[in-house]
This record gives sequence, C-alpha cells and structure tokens, in this order.
Amino acid sequence: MISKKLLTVIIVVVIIAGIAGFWYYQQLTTPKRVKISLYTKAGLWASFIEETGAIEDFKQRMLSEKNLEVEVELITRPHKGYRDTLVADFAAGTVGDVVWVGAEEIPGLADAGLLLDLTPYVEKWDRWEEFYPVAKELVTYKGKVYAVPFETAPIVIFYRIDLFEKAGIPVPWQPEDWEDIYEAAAIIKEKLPDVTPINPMYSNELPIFAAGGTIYDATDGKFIVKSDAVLAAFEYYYTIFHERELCPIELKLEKWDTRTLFKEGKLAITVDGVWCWAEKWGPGMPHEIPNRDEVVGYAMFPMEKGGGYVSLTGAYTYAIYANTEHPDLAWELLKELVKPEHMAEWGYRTSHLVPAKDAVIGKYAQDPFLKWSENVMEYTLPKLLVEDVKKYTDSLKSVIYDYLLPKATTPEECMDIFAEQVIEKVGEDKVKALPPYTLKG
Amino acid sequence: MAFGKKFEYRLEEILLAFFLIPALLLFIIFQIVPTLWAIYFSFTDIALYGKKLFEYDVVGFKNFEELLTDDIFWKSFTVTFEYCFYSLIIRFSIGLVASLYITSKLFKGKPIITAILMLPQALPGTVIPYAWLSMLDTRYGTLNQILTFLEMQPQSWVYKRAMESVIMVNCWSGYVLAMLVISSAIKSIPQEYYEVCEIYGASRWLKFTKVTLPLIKWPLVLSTILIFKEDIDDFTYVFMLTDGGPYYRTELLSLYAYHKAFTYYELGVGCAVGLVIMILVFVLTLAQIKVSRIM
Repeated sequence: MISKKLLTVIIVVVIIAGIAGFWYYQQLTTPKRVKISLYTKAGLWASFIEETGAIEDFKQRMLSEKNLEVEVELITRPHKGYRDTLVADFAAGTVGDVVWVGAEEIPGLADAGLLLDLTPYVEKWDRWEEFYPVAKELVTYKGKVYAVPFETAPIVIFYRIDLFEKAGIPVPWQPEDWEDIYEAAAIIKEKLPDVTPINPMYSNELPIFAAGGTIYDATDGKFIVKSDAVLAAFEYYYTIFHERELCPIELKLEKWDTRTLFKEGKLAITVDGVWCWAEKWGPGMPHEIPNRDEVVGYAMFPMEKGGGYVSLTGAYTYAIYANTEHPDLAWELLKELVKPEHMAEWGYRTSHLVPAKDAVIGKYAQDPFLKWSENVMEYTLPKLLVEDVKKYTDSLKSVIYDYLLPKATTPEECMDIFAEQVIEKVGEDKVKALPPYTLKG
Repeated sequence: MAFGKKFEYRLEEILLAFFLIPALLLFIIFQIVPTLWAIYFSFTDIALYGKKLFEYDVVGFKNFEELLTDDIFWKSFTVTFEYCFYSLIIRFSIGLVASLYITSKLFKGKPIITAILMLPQALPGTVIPYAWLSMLDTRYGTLNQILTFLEMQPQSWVYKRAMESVIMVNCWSGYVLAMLVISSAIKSIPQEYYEVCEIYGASRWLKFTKVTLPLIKWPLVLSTILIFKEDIDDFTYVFMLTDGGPYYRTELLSLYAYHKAFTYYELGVGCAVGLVIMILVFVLTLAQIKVSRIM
C-alpha cells in the first residue's frame, strides 16, 4: 500500500511536471514576439507600402518560416523637409530599423557608422545580380553596399507639344546640342510672348557633365572647381537668364511653381525628373494634365556641342539602421519591400525607373514613356557618392542663386567665387583646377 | 508646543517641495539638460552626420571665432535687428491702437471685434505662413491680384520685398501680445481718475496723455521688451516664407543656426549661434524682470 504522503508527493510531482511540460510545449509552439520598425515618407510613400501588402506578407512569412510573430511599426515623416528630419532622427537614434534613404545621404550616414553594411547580405542574395550597375554604384560607398535601391530617376527635358506647334517648331523635338535648346526657347519667346520659354535646370551640376566634364577626380580624390566644363555650365545659365533672356530670373528666385506653369501651358520647356510624367502630371495627381500624352513631349538633355546626351540620377533606397536589434529580420523586411512586383508597380504609378532587370514587368514594361526612359539610362550617370559632395553642390547652387541670377555676375567671376566657396568648405587640399585654370587667379 | 508648530511647519515645507518634484524633474530633463548639452556642443566640432557625429573634439572658442569672422553671421545679426526693430514699431503701434479701441467706451460690438482681433493669435504658427504664401505669390497671389485690379504694379513679395513680407506676416499675427498687455494695464486704471478729469472738463487727448499714458508707462516698456524678446528668436514664419533668402536678406539668427546645424550639419557651430541667441534673450529677460518689479 502506498502511503497517503507518498501519493500526495507523486500527485504534486505529476502536476508540476505537467505544468512544466505544458509551459515548455507552449514555448516551443507559441511564436516569439518581435517588433521592428519601418521609417519612410508620409503620404504617397507610406500608403503605397500599405497597399502592396508587403508588411502583411512579411509577417506571414516570418510566422511560417521562423515562428516569429512580428509587429511592424510604420514611422512616417513629411515629404517636405524629410532629409533634415531623417538625418536628425539618425543622429538622435530615433530612426527605424529599415529606413527610406536618399542615396546622397549614404556617405555621411555611413561615415558616422549609422548604416548597416549590407555587403554580406547582398553577396548571399541571388537577386542582387539583377540590379543595374548604375543602381549598385548609387548605394556603394568605399567598396561597401549600404542600401538596396528601389527607384532611380534621371533628369530629362519635357516640352509642351501644343506650344511648339503654335510657335512652328517641328515635333517630336530632340535637341542635339545646347544651341538647339537656345534656338527653340528663342522662337517660343518671339512667337508666344506670354509663355515662359524655358526652365533650364533641375540638377545644377548637370551642365558640367553635359559639357564633357566632371566634378570629382577619383584618382586623386579632389573636386574640380575650375575647368572648361565648370565655366561652360555657368555660361549655359548666363546665356539663358541674362544674355538671351529666355527665362526670367524670378522663376528661380521667387520659386515659381514650374510644374503648375507647365501644366497650364505657361512654360514651354522644362528640365525636370522623369517622375513628373506620372507623379506630377499623371491622372489623379495635383498637377494633372488631362491630355498629357498629346501635349507633353520629352527629350534627352544634349551634350554642349552635340555628339550624345547626358543625364544624372539619384536613387531612393532602403537601408538598415546600424544599431538595429534585429539586423537579420530587418533584412528580411527589406527584401519583401523591394520585390520586383512592388518596384514595378511603384515605377508605373510614379514614373520612376526600376533599378533591377527583373522588375521590368507588368504595366511598367508596357508603358511607352517608361520604355523611353529606360533608354535614357544608357546616357545616365549616377550622382557621386563621396564625402563632401554636398558641400560642392551647395556651393554651386549658392553661386548661381546668389550671384549669377540676381547680380548677373559673369561666368568667369562665378567660377572664381565658386572655387573660393568650395575651398572654404572642403579645404584647399581637396580641390583642384584643370589647365589652363589655376586655383588662385 | 513650539516644537510641534515648528515640526508642522517643516512638514508642510517638505510636502510642498515634494509636490514640486515632478515639475522640477520635467524642467530639468526637458530644459536644463538640453541647454547644458547645447552649451557643451557649442565648444565642440560635432557634426550632425559623418565621422564627426561621434568622434568630435572639444575645440574651445573656435566656433565663436569662426562666427566672428563669418560675413553671413554678421549679416544675419544685422538682419535680425532690422527685423526686430521694424516688427517692434509696427506690432507695438497696432497693439496700442487695438488696445485703446477695445478698452474704449465709445464703440459698440466690442466683444465681437475683440474676438476677431484675437484670431491671428489663435491660428497655429504653421498655418499662417501657408495662408500668406498663397496671398503673396507673384503670379496667383491675392495681394497682387488686388494691385492689378487697382491698376498698380504687382510686387515680387517673396523675393524683392522679402523682408517687408516677413515683417508684415509677423506683425499681422503678433500685435495681439501688445494689445493684451496694454489693454489689461488700461483696464486696471481706477475710473475715479477719469471722473475727476471729466469734472474739470479735460479733453480726451489730455486724459490720454496725462492719465492713461503715465499709468501704463511700465506695461508699455514691458510689452516692447516682450515683443523684442519674442522676435529675436523667431523662426517659423521666415523659415516657411523665405527660408532666409534671397541672398541671406531674411536670414535671421535662428535660421542661420538651423542652416548651420541641419543643412550644413555643423551642429557645433549651430549650437554656438544658439548660445549667442540665448545670451541676448537672457539679457532681455533680466530687463523684463526688472520692469515687472517696478510695475
């Protein structure tokens, strides 16, 4: 006979073992809860992510593959001032795990150690081979990959077909050199006095490349502040704003809304990003042009003296915050966000170009404008990713907006002021002048 | 017995101090600590991004030396005082007239008009510049449409008249402060003084210059200090209307600090400018306290 005491002990042991077993079983079967965050722009950008269902798909995949119950917090910041807010949030450590970042921010953020080096991840990722070399270049800094590009957007020329026809300029129009641009704008000015002939710039440094130059010499790590191409760029602006008066300086200085002017047929030619086609003038957008396909033409930006075309592109990318607690999970979310179907849909909706071959699918692949834009990529250079490049481009903007436009400072003087400004900001040892120019004088 | 009372008194003191702790903690965490950090950063070469975000050095007064030799800083300094000076005159004048109106017994419907006069203060600071931007637009703006209707020359408000525009917006929304301070001072003047004036047949002007003005002298001084103090670190309207342009013509000190810290990422220099503003505001606050005591 088992004594009552022993029986009690056995029952207690069985109960405890049962509870422990149940707890262990629960631990094995109940998904572990994890929270990560996604930091992006509010409005169009955040809505798109929600619409694609990428976050839900990611959650499902993590549950089935890793038994993880993931909560994804969407952190949004306004489009206006996004860059400043993003950098401040990075510095304060309040940014998300996966972050929507402009490629031009990569050098500064990477140098500060705020971006996770994704090289080991992309090396093991089959899809990385599908990305265009230009796109890869846009996210590679000092030999390391810091982000995965989601969209690229070259700069092109848009023109109003209806205004060209009224002025008697044959369409389709493709300027072969800068003189062609000046001539078309001059005809518009003469025949249609109520129309602003041209908005000549979106990216201030584009004419430097179009004049056959560059802004940085990778062989010695120096910025080029004086060269024939830099001078040509200032001459391009001077010719348009002052010499031939093809664009009122107020258009830039008073920040006229060029997209609205173009929409209303009050601006004939505008240099702008390909995204304007859908994101600005497309159906349902704030600057919608109802008969866009009939009245809006597009052309590539020509080299100064002909012989080809040129464009510049930046990229918006997904990067991972270096201090994330869940780098692998963040990478999985990033992969979900950049799936080819999402890239293609975003590209189609906003007329941004997809950065990967496998994303040229569906409606994106059928769209005539996007097909044309893909050809532009052949002539497109990636925006430079080097330390201090922003100081160089800021100085260029400052000279154009503070001297060339309001004071009609000559191109030669502008180049001297520009050189002085860049030297002051990045140091004399980091700049150079190409012959026949010298840094002093 | 005496000991008991003393103990009770001490206990009350301790209890009061205890209730102050939450507010004091909030004040220390959200005011004192960031201020001390900003002061510390102003003596370093910290950048908002790049290597210098974490690997910064203490550089002593280098940032301040840089400011003293920076033409833009001095331009910004001049611009700030120009902005404050004109804003002060206009805000004060409108505020004074408005306060005389709302304290006057001559007019009817004052509650409604007072409510309307208070409206600019009730609007959020971020909404006001947007509303004004649409009015100041060269091509589509309401102001230029009115000028065109009157067969007058349209103006380039946000470029050629940038400073005038930002002062105009600031004064439109800012006269309320002077109006409130002065009107409350006028209301506190005993009515007997005016009754005596009436007995002796004093004119309205005499009443104003001999009774009202001397009795509201210090509130007037106080409101000028308050207006100046409020304007010296103004940011929102100018940031949204002109962003300091064109060619730094509206680059107030606060905007200069912002651009240094968040556009050029030179956080150390930005904090140094912040410290300069803080010293200016501190001096004005001392003056304000002094005047408040006299009142």
